[in-house]
Amino acid sequence: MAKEIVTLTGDGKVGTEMIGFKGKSCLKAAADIAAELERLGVITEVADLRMKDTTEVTEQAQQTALKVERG
Amino acid sequence: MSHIKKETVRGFDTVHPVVLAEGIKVAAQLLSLQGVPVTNFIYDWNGNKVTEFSGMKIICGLDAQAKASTSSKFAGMGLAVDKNGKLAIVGDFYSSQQKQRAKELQKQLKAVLGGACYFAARAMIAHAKGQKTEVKINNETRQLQLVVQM
Repeated sequence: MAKEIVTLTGDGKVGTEMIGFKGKSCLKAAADIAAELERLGVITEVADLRMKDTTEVTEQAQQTALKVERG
Repeated sequence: MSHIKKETVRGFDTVHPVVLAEGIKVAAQLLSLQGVPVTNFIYDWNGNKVTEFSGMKIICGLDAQAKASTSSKFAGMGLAVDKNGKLAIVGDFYSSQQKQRAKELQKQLKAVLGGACYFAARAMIAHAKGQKTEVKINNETRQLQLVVQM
């Protein structure tokens, strides 16, 4: 199942990791979340964006991981 | 009570008041992991526990130790959302030691509140969508983690 893990560190930095998405659907999910956050007045700046496509063309579930760190 | 003052803090002007209130709770939890005592009140000059000020509910108090008239002790820094939806700092910071402690705490709070509001807002979005969430507290790394099943 797709999930997002948001980590808040002691110095107030936020890191998000999105895993279990198929193909590039995680990018759409990330964009939707960013839009909803903005509607709530939470404006963020992406400090580091790493995308690792772990899609496997096997019977195993396709997965895409997206890791974002926000400043 | 008469000594208690309110100060509105800028920097979170865009954040929705409900998110700000939840963000304050998250920030307090994070500061608590860093060793800052967190209560739901602050002390006034005479040692009364104050949970409300000028119609504002104090969401949490940071480092409330003793009555403000004990100049060597800290009476607590209250965090609230004012009627305009802005972050309000409430407390009786009388002696130079108390003022210094208030300054330190405000600095610590400002460092984490933005991230805390993000964290709170993300959880609120998940709840609104009926998604399952789990909050994990890591005492060792002093981090909070939110897992959203999407």
